[in-house]
Amino acid sequence: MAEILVNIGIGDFEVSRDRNTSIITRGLGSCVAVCLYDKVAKVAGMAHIMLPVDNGRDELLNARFADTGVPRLFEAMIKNGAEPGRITVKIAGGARMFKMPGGSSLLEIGERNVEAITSVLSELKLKLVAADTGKDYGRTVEFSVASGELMVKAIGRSVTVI
Amino acid sequence: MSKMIGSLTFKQKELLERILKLSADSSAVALSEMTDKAIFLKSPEIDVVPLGDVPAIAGGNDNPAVSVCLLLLGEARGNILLMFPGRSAFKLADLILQEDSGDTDELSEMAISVLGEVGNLVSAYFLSTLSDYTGLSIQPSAPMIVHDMVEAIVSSAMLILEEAPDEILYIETNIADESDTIQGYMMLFTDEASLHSILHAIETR
Repeated sequence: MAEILVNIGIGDFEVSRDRNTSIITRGLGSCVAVCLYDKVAKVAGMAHIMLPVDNGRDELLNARFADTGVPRLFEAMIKNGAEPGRITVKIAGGARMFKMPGGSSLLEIGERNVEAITSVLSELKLKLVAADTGKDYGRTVEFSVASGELMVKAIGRSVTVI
Repeated sequence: MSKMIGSLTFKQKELLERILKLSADSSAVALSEMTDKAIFLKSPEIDVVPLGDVPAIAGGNDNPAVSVCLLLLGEARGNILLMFPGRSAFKLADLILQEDSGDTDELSEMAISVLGEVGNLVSAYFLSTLSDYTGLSIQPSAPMIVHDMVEAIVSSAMLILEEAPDEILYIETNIADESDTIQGYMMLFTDEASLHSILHAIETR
């Protein structure tokens, strides 16, 4: 069990090499947690992505947007000793929380986030090994630095580990 | 520019507050008639907040809540979100239906329908008052009911906005009954272009 929980908020990212740490983010709806892991160097990183494309005004250099946030997380992983060829990726979230008869493309933001992330990952030549995305419910995720396991919790559902 | 929102003028703020107060009062009367109990919508607060701060402001985290979300259609884009933490939505539905849902974790079809009506009512009063003041024609969509984690609901509602602004006009009011067993919040999210047209229309009227 991890002794230290590092909580990341919406649009933030965090990298850790401390094996007693788990990185956690709560209440993902249409947002997606992107989790990068180098199992040899034991470096783990998570980004809480909100939207697919940077609006160009993001001065905080955080991880709000898939197209800029995932590369930032990747660079931070490398700075912390991860080898690009060894990094594996797990993602969770990207739900469609709201449904309407007849539908509305505005409600598909979760799907669009997942698509954008998948395309950035392939540009960076990063390997997606597991995903728990889509559907219609919120998720809280916990990513263990020691094991690289991603625990996914949802209301009224059993805990899954990917 | 997004910075303009941060400098919401005194007049803009005052007019928005007046619109909210009027519609909150009408909603409270209608809700009281529906429930046969005194329902209050506490004095609304208006603030301009950075996008990233919104989920935390609304109570945040992964506790359960029931929400009613309605999209704005017509001359503004955005959405109205009613948020009832914990069992508040169950209690509200029980009050209106005059029954006791006990400890059930699932909303009944009737409860979902009743909460949708509450959403229709509150948003109709707000949007018609807003129309009176701005001349803009804005209608609510059909209500969407979600029972899930607070932060998952709030962040997803906020991100329905087609273009995520840096800052959001955030309006919050408390919906409560006399014994304070029902707690609810109303939030309004608009994108920057819609906010500009609303503020412009208010000022030039």
